[in-house]
Amino acid sequence: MDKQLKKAREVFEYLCNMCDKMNLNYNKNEDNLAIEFICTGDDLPMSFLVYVEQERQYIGLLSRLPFSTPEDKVVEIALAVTAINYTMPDGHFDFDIDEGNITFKMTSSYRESLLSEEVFQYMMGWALHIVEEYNDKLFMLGKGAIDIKDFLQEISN
Amino acid sequence: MATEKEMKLAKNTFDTLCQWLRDEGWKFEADEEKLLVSFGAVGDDLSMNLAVKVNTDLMIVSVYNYLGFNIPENKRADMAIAICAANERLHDGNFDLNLLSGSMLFRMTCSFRESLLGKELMKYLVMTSCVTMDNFNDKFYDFVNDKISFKELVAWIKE
Repeated sequence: MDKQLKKAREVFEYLCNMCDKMNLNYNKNEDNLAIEFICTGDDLPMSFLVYVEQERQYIGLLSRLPFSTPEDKVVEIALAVTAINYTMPDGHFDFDIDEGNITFKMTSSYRESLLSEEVFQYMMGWALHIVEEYNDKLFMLGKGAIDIKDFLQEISN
Repeated sequence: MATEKEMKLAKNTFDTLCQWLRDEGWKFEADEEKLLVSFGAVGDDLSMNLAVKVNTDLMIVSVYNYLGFNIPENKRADMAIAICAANERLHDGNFDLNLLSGSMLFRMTCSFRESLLGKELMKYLVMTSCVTMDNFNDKFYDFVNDKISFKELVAWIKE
């Protein structure tokens, strides 16, 4: 087996073991080296996809927000996502300007390095915190219930 | 506040980064108190200023590759849309734009919680940030200087 694939499979098994230890109810896709699970926040449900990127040798975490942005709000959401990303020390929101989908993403490389359980727990905790913090605000912005100027002002404070 | 063990890991990460830069013959300035390294790089066209910061609060190492010019106020909304299109297509890292000042950078991070990061990982973070910035900076420059339109910039990003 290819050395990178072998390492990727080891990391994937390690991830699954950690999910078991954390009692997470998850679905795993061994072909894609990915696991999926859902968490319930204060308001909107949060779905997570954690995957092992074999070629680039990193763990990626994606959390797609459960709504899409209407076409007439693309500029506002692009500004909001850009403002949020600038304040964020780790991870960022991706915004698909054509489809209107917003996804939180963060990565951590395992390239010739020893990754710990704490790294995975940190990624999970950080992603939960950030998605919980912004999902309802971005939803309200997309609905036109929040003014973009007020939103940007709040972010910059 | 970082524990003694966490500070040791942070210092280890900082030392590994400095050693890799020395091994590769990079000229750099290191601030051991701030755990911050600064250096420059020259791409195919525009030069790049980089900073690598070891963050002891979050236990992450972050590479910041600064765009060599600011985005004028009248182009920041368009640039926000353009970098959303760019970020979505990148495998790792993202462009950040300060909407108030117009400064822009490419950022990559990696956690070192209870982890030992090696030189290969430092190389990956620094080189990926340089390659990505070098790939995009001339198009951003052309857009800022009205050599290409917003539509052309986004179309190029989507190619």
